[in-house]
Order: sequence, then structure tokens, then C-alpha cells
Amino acid sequence: MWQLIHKLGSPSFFYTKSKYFTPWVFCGFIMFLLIGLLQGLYLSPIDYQQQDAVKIMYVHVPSAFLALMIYSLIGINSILYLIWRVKLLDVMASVSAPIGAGFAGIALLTGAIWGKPMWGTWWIWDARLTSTLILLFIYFGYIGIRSAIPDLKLSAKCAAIFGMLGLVDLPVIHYSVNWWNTLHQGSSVIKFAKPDIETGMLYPLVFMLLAFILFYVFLLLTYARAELLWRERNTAWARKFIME
Amino acid sequence: MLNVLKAITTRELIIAYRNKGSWINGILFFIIISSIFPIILNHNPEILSKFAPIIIWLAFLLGLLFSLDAMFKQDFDIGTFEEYYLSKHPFSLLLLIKTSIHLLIILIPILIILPLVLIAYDLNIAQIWVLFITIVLGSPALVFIGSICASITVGLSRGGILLVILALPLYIPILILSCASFLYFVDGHSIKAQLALLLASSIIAVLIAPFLSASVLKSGLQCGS
Repeated sequence: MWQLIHKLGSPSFFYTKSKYFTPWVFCGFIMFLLIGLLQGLYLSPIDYQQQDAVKIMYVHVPSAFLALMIYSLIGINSILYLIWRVKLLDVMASVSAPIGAGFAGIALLTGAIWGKPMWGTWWIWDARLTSTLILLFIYFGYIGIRSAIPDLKLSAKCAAIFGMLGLVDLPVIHYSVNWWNTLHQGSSVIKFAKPDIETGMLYPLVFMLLAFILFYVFLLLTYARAELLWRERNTAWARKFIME
Repeated sequence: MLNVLKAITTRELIIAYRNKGSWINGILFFIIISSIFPIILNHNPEILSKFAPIIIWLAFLLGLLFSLDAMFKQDFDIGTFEEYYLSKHPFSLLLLIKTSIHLLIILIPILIILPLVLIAYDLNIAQIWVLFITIVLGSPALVFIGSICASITVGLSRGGILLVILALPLYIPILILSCASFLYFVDGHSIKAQLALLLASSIIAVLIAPFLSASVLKSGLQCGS
């Protein structure tokens, strides 16, 4: 068991194995994306109130989900990195952060585009919107640490500690914002209680979610491979790959 | 252990006494920010008394962030932290003492001038007390969470902006709690729960932050030398 984990954490093992893995992930992503888009855009029922605008959901919900998921992964990675100092975990976390920030940005942007026809406003200081925005700020801070500290080991440690701190603080932020808004504006907030979603809408949503997750995995593997090769450029195994 | 406490306290107080600019600037910043708002808000007493906690907290917070940037910088550059690290006492404990004294040095002057500033905001005595208590209960959390971020940015030549970007999102729950408790109080509710939560977050921050900043500073020292 320990040997397996040790092997998985070794950069050269990851680099050689992920090479065969990446194209399949990409194929899976394209497949789920096509199914999801086809079902979502053509076959899914139209909401009786929102009409065609409801179709933004198929991009909005998965990207919001991924923004949170990626941050949780970064946080867990950070804790594991602080315990075991596996280089690979640090590489994963460092390349995940810009991707996660991108998804958070997409979620906010599509949310605004969706909100304009539905609620009549681009932005409200609703709890979910606010906490997604703060999540984006935390991503920026995390990326800021990575880019500001030139020493790799130090930046890995600082980023890991900040990532862990963010993981602990995010639920607190979410609940405090939630509580504050219900206290503060109560009835004036436009309620968007989750409608009981219909199966016709649920399936394309699930497919899109799978597609987005595979897309993330694909990006993660690609960037992690590049980053790994760059960091290990002076070792024997990396030289061998570069020569080829 | 008492020797250490006494030695670090004396040292920090002497530095603060000789280098008065470091904390007087903070007070001036606080006074200027909190008196600029009434001017630009057209000294409308209704708006002012409603926004008083937010303005006071923001002025306090920004001044605090500037002082946090300077808190570790000098000690990191001239090698005091190396001495701390090499001493037989735990590094995190020494940091805890240092950060607490820093907290007192910036907090006490602010608390003294707070009533004077708040007279301009048309608040009554009870409201001033509430603001006073929220600042006292919340500021340890701010300073200690900020000390983790400050230890991350300490080695950087321009870490000030990064410090603000790192610390402000983490401060949001505390800001919300303290401003909400003031508004609750104005509406005539009991605010015990909010104050208890503020105190709880301060206690947690004080207990955890020294370990994290000590571990970051240790790596920074090893990397720098």
C-alpha cells in the first residue's frame, strides 16, 4: 500500500502513465459534452417561466460546482502536502488554482447574463453570489502567493498554508454572508429557491457536469505534466523525455 | 518563561517608544479616514449614525493592515527571528507574545481616541460602548489571522498589496459579525450571540495562528539564508 502511494507520488511515474491517460479523458469530455449539449439545447423541456434562458443553467451550474470542487481539492491537497511533502500534490494544487479561478469567473459571468433577463438585474448581493465572488478573491490570493514567491519550496509551503486557511474559512464566509443577507434584506431579495428539477433537465445537467469534470481533469493532467517537466528539468528522467 | 515575556515586552515597547512614527501614523490614518467620510457623505446625521460601525471598522482595518505589513518585516530583515528560532523556547510562543504586544500597541491608542471620533457621528453612549466592545473582541482575530498572511508576505519586497489581497477575504466573517451586531443593537435586539461568536473566532485565531506563522517564517528563514 505504502509502496503504491510512494510510486504514485513519484514524478516520473506520473509523467509516463498520465501520457496514456490524457487522450482518453479528452475523448470522454468530448463525448459527454456532445450528449449534454444535444440534450440540453434541443431535447430538454423549456421552463414555462424562464423559457430559453434556462439553458444557461447547463453551463452555469457545472462551472459553479467545479469552482467549489477545485478549491476543496486544493485545500485537501494543501493539507496532504503539509503532512507528507509529496511534490506531485503541490504541482496539482498550483496548476489547479488558475483553472478554478477561471470556472469561478465563468460562473459569475453566466450568472450575471442569466440574472439580467430573469431577475432584471446583473448582480444582487445574494449570499451565493457574494460567496462565489469571495471564492474568486481567495483564488486570486492563492495565485498571487504562487507568482510572488520565486523559491519553489517556500511558495509551495506558503500557498499550502493559505489554501488550508481558505478551506476552513470558506464555509464560515458562506454561512456568515448567508445569515447577514437573510437578516438584512429578507423579503427584498429575489428568491431563487431551487425548483424541483425535472428529469428532462436533470439528465443534460448531469452529463454537462461530467463533461466539465473531465475537462478539468484533462486540463489538470496537461498542465501538471508541463509544470512537472519544467520543475524537474535538471533530473535524469526529465532530460530523457526532453531529448526524445 | 516569565523572563522571555518580560524581555520581549520591554524590547517591543522600547522600539515603539523610540520609533513613534510606527504607531502614531496608524492613529492619524484612523482619524483622517473616519473624518473624511462625514465630509464626503455631506454630514447627513441619519446616514452617518447608520454607517458609523462600517466606517470605523474599515478605518481600523486598513490601518491595521499597514501596521501588519511592518510588524514582521524589520525583525525578519535584521535577524531577530533567527535568534528567536535558535533560542530554547518554542518559536510559536515567542511569536504569540510579539503579536499580542503589537496588538496592544495599536489597539490601545485607537480605543482612547475612539469616543472622540464617534462624537462626530452622532451616536449615543450605549452605541459607542457596543462599537468599543466589538473592536476589543474582534481585533485579536484580525491581528492574528493577519499575522499568518504577514508571515507569508514578509520576504517580498512589495508584499503590502498581496497582504491586503490575502487578508481581506478571510476577514469578512468578522466584519459582518461586528457590523451586524451594531445594527442589531440599534434595532433593540440582544447581541450576546454575535459577541460570543466574535470572541470565539478571536480565541481560535490566537490559538492557531502562532503555529502557522511560525512554520511559514521558519521556511522563510531557511530559504533566505
